[in-house]
Amino acid sequence: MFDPKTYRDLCDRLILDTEKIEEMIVMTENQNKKTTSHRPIRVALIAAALAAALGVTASAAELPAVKEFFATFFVTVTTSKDVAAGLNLPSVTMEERDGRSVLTINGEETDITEAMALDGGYHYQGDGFEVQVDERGVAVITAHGNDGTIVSYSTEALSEGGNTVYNVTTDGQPTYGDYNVVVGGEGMEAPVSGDEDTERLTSYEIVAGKNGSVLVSPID
Amino acid sequence: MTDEAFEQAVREHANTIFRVACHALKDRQEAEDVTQTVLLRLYQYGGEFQNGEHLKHWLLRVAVNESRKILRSPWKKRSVPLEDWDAVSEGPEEQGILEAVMALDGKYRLPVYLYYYEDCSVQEVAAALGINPSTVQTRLQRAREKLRRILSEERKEAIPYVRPQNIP
Repeated sequence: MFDPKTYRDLCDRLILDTEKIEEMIVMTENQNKKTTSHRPIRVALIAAALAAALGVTASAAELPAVKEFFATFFVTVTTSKDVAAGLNLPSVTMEERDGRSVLTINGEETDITEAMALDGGYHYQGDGFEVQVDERGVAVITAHGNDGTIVSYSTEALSEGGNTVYNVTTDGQPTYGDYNVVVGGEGMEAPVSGDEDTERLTSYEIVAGKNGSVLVSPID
Repeated sequence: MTDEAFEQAVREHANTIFRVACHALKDRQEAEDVTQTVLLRLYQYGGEFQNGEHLKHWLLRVAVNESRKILRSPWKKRSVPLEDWDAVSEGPEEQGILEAVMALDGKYRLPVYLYYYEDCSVQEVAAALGINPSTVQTRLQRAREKLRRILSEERKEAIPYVRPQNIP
C-alpha cells in the first residue's frame, strides 16, 4: 500500500548539503548576468551605409509574415498562458549583396564576409538568443525563454507548391493548445495541439503564403 | 532580482528543485546539475514574481523543463542510473516506498511527486508539466495502481515462507 505520509517523510530526506547550496549561490552570483557580444558596430554601420547607398532591400519577401507569426504566437499567446514569457525572438535575415554576406539582426546589419571566410561560419550571442550562420549562409536562431523553453528556427526555406516553408522547433513546453494566427487580415486557424505524450520535441511547419498569411501545422 | 532575494529564494527552494530533478532523472549528480542551471535561470530572470507561490511554480516548471533537456540527450538515453533510493529509509515500514516511486515510468514519477509532496492541485501539476489536467488525473490513478502492485509484491517477497504442517 502506498502511504503518502511515509512518502513525504522520505522526500524530506532527499536534500542537498547546506554547503552545496551555499556553493551554488556563490557560483551563480559569480557568473555574468548577460553575455552579449557581437561584431564591432563600426562594421555594421559601414554595411548599413553601403546598403543605403545601393538602395538594397530585403530579398526574403515572405519573412515578415513569419516574423509576425512569432510575434503573435510565441510572444502574445504563450505569455497569456504564462508560458515562454520573456522569449526574445529576433528578426534575422541573411543576404548576399555584391559578393558580401550581410547578416541583419533586429535591423542591425553586419558584414560577416571575412568571418565566414576565416571561420567557415559566424556566431552572434544576443540577450536571450543566439544566431549561428553556417558555411552555406543559413542562419539558425535559437531563443531561450525564462522558463526553459527553447524556440529554434532558421532562415532557410523550402519552396513547395508556390509557398515558402519554414521549420520551427520548440522545446520545453510543447503543449500550447489550439490558437488562431491572424496576419495581414488573412486569418487562418493553426491547428497546433499537444498530445498525451508530449514530453519530446515538437516541430511545426510554417507555410508563408504570398498574401502574407501563415499556416502552422505540427510535424510528427 | 537582488542578490539578497536570490539567496533567500535559493535557501528556500533549492531542495525542491533538487527533488523534482531527482524524480525526473533518477540520478543525484544530474539532479544537482539541473539545480545549478535552474538557479542560474532564476538569477538571470528579468521579470517579477507576484508572490512566493508564483516563484515556486515558476521554479517547478523550469526544473521540469531543464530535466527534460537532459532526458532527451543521447547519452542519457543510453545510461542506466544506479541509485539506491532505499538509503534514505529509516525503518522497515519505509523500505521500498521511494524505490517503488522511482521504479515507475518517467511520466508517472513527477505527477506523484508534485501532487503528493508539493501538494500541488491537478491543475498546478498540469501547468508544471505542460499536459492536460485530465492526463494528470489518469497518470495519478495509474501510478497508484502500479505502486499498489509493486509494493504488495515486495511485501509478499518479504514474508518468509512457512511450510504447512499437519496437526495430528
